[in-house]
Amino acid sequence: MKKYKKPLSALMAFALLLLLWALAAFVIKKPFLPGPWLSAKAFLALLKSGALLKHALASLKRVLASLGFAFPLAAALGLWAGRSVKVDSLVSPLAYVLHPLPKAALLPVIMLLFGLGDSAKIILLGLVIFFQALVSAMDSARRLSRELVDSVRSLGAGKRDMAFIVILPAALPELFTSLRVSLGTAVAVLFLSETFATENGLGFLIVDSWARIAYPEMYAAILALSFLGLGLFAMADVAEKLLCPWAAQRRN
Amino acid sequence: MLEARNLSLDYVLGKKRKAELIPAFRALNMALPSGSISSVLGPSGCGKTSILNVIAGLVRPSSGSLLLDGAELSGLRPKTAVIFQHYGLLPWRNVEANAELGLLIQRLPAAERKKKIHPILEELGLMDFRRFYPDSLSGGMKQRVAIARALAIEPDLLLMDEPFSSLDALGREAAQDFLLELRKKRPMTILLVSHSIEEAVYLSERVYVMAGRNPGFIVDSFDIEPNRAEKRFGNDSYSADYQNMRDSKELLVYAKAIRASINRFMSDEKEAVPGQGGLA
Ligand SMILES: Nc1ncnc2c1ncn2[C@@H]1O[C@H](COP(=O)(O)OP(=O)(O)OP(=O)(O)O)[C@@H](O)[C@H]1O
Ligand SMILES: [Mg+2]
Repeated sequence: MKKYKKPLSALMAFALLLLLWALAAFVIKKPFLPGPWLSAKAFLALLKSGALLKHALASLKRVLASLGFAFPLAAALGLWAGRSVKVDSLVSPLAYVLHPLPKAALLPVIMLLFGLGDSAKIILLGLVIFFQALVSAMDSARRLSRELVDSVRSLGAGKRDMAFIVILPAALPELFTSLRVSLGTAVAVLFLSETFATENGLGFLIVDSWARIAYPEMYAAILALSFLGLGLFAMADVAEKLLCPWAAQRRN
Repeated sequence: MLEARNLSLDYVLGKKRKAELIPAFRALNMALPSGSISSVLGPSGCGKTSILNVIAGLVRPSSGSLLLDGAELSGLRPKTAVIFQHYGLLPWRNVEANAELGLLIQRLPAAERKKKIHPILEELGLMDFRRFYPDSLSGGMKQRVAIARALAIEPDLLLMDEPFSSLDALGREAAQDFLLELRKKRPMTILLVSHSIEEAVYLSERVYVMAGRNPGFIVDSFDIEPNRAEKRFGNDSYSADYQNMRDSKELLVYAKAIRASINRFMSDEKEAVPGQGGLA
């Protein structure tokens, strides 16, 4: 039974949100706030025409591409820095200065550098994910207990064994936490980046329908972007359960 | 025979120029007969763990030498097993995966690892728990997993850092007897670090008493005759008699002598350095 608790409470929260939305739409009665019913109809229409899928896939592709290059790179560099004083003295100051920087503000710079295409968007999202994961990886590699490292070293473990048997698994739960945090930010930055120089993506769909005064469509697109974020979150959860089974047994 | 000759260790803190030396222990001379169980007894901070780390090859001594059967010992060696105070189990590996870690690192194929590990898990009563993760086990069970991991590499030298300190009194006595049984079945030299005089006297044939801090040093050593390996672990030895030994007058006399030695040292130290307590 416990297994169903999380989806169930999420569903209830969603229902409450819908109720509030319907209430607000009923009270305000303005075209810019259509109720959930009208928006859902627009959602279905967009789905049927295939437009929604096309835009959603374009957005998903950007997120996954940035995740694919930034996350492993950041994890590897962060774990290395956390275990090596030399690497740390290079990476730490950089992370300290760049991590708090609002990456979204770099959008124009990155577009000037990398052109108007997808690569600029992917790089921008990648920066968001990169620094979050970098900092988490460094922290958890630093915190590793000496006794744990020594006990594995005493069994004859070389550097490679140490990395894959000790350092990486120790950091996994924390890396997943960082992933969830950065996915939230990444979806926001994705929206921003898709309002420029592109004709696809959910961000484009939102801004485009806004300009066309197609309000129900705009809300349908906002919903779709929320679902995308939710889906990414759920993906991270499932991946964590599969890759960190010990953390689940600890909770029970 | 494992010998330490004039062994000293200073930890080096900081970078080359501004390096600071923290003395851990000084001028140790020890001799552990092959197949014996010996103990190092001493107060917190006297360098007991540091000694184990040096013998294990995890830390290089600053001076002096270690000899095993006459041959110089330096660095890690495949037949030395270490059991750390908090067991050093990896939380993300289940009991079986922790136990076979040494064999995995030696690149043994999975089938062979299982073949070696399963009898050991069986012997230690861990077979039914082999899919459990360490965090869901009691302290005593975790310790047995650490022992299984150590035994898997078929060690001839076993180093244990306060192996029984986190167990309750009854569990501790059972674990001590279990260690004696293990030793009877396997010819290994065992060195353990302890805080408890009774424990050291019950388990060891040689007890080294340490004192001091930064650096610590050996102040005395005791040979406990009735615990000689030939007597205890020989072919037709009195295996069931460990228990009777626990309360024997004979051992009590040794415990008394060791306590006297510690107290003597403490009062000497108090006179030398007014206002400073010695052993905790
Ligand atoms: N990695 C290290 N770097 C620097 N100093 C250390 C290190 N490990 C231990 N020391 C110092 O060396 C001394 C001896 O430490 P050690 O851990 O060997 O003592 P111990 O006898 O095992 O103590 P305890 O009974 O508390 O476990 C201590 O004063 C400690 O501060
Ligand atoms: Mg210690």
